[in-house]
Amino acid sequence: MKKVFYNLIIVASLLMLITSCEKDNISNGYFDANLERQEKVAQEAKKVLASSETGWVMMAKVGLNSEVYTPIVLKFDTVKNRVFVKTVYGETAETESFFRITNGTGAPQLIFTSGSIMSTLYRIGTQASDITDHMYNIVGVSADTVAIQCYRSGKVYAKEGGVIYKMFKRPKDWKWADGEIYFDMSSPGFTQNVAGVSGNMKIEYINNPSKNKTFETIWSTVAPTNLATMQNGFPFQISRNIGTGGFKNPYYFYLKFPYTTTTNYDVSPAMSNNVMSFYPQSGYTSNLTYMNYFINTYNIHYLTCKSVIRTGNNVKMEFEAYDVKGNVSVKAQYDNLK
Amino acid sequence: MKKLIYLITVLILLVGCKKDNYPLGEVDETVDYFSKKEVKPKSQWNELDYLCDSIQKAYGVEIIYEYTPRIIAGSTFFMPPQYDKALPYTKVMLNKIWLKPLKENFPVFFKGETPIEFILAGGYVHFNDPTTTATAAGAGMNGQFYRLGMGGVNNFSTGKTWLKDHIVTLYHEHAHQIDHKYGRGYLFDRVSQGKYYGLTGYSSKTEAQAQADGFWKGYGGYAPEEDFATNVEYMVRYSESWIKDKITVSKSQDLEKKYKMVHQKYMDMGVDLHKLHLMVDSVVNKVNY
Repeated sequence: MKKVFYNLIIVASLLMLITSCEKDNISNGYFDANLERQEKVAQEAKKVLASSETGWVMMAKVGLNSEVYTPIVLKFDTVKNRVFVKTVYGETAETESFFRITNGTGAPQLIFTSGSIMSTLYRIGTQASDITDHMYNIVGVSADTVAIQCYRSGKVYAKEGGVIYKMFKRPKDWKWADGEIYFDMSSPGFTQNVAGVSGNMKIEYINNPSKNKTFETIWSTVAPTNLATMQNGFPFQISRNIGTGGFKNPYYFYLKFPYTTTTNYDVSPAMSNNVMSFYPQSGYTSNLTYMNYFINTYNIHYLTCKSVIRTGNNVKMEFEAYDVKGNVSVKAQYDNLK
Repeated sequence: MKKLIYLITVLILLVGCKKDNYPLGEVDETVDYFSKKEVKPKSQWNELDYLCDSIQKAYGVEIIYEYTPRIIAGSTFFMPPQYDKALPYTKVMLNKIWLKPLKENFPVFFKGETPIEFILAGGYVHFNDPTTTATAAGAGMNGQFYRLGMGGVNNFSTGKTWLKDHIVTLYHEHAHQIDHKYGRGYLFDRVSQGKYYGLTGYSSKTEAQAQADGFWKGYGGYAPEEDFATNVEYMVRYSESWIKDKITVSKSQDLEKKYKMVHQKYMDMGVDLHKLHLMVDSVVNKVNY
């Protein structure tokens, strides 16, 4: 009886030995037979990214009380691996930024490898965007969509994988993201009939017209000494935050708006690639107070300039801001004649 | 019979799974597993890539300014440097101030103790959260035998104060690497045993107080690791006479004992830290970049 028992144990151990090794053989068989797969998927992603001449758009959610999403336009030069980034927080600096598409493990990866606006947004955190890495897994590629997911989701011990961005090709009519600067409060030609003139601003909410608002406004330029102080509060620069960079020193201007119900006050938007950016400065309490009041009242943190039309002394400008899919969800009009 | 069955079982146990333990085949010893998996094709090289290549050929150090998951693990948070800062940093700090004079003046130390990888970090090292303020120059990166890294590259400036601070900090971080590689030594840790300030105590100490307690500065009294690295840092930053003067003034035998230990340790590796100070001082202060 004892002998039978021993033999049983031996047979059972042998069986375990034989079956326990099988798992490895199964999982590796697939990779052995598909050595080229990763390479192919990465190449496909590269081809699609290069295919849009005007670039791709990521729409990032902000931590501010704003109902519009931050557009980030990415143009990929796959020959030199350079990436050109444009967004609404400031004008892009001249420095070069690089990216790489690698095979990764499981999914190919899009990595913004050197310092750029992309690593800056990662560094700044939730107030400016929901970007939580400068490395992304490419989770889906089709002719008009490239879906990418932040490799990490935030701080240490946070789950793997952050927000998924479905990038779409940059709409042709997003003229603000082209090279030409036509909306520029720092240019004397532009400020003619605009600076110091009492005009009107109307803000329309496409999906909620009951929120529409109109107010009187005066735009004015900033004296050089004040400008230097204001620029010092630009949160996306190395002297404020060493892990950032990629933006030029911005030009600020004053925009008068109704602060509380009784007084008018200036908010100071920054000029950025034909966009006015209402992003709170760092370190200046009064700027924070008025800027946050503006954001909380109008629920926008930027307005891209669509057109500037001059007829005699009259200047009309159209602005817009976008939802998560890049559709216009807020429109604004400026008219210098009330 | 029973013994035979046991013997066969043991044999099967030993050899049965061998093949499956190496499902991707035997380890190929000719492959350099430390090199980057995907090399950037030459057609994509920019000025900095060419510079890094020539530095690697001249000094055997691979300079890394672009991050991939192979460089930065999922649990560490460094920001890649801005290109327009990384380029002059590599030219001036790494090539002219660190590697070239070191190879020429201290060939033995250079050959034996120079890391084979050097990582540039734009900001400083974030331990847990990429969005919070960070101040550590290179910790975490420098606990590895083969790679050294420095934070703060985005602050690059040709100002002499910045250059001096940075190269001194670089030798401080390198000392951590030496520490990990060889150890500070049993006796070094016994000198100030029980006298370290710890995390809460060190920041309030003045330099004079710390020196009287046996440490070069408050931070050196934080823990033995920083004690060792600040010994190197101070010998690189200050002249031999300054160091000896402070030892006399402090009346601290511990300070003197540890100074002698660290100085001798580096002598054994081929470098007199007092002479290294003269070299650093000369390349930083007598040349304009």
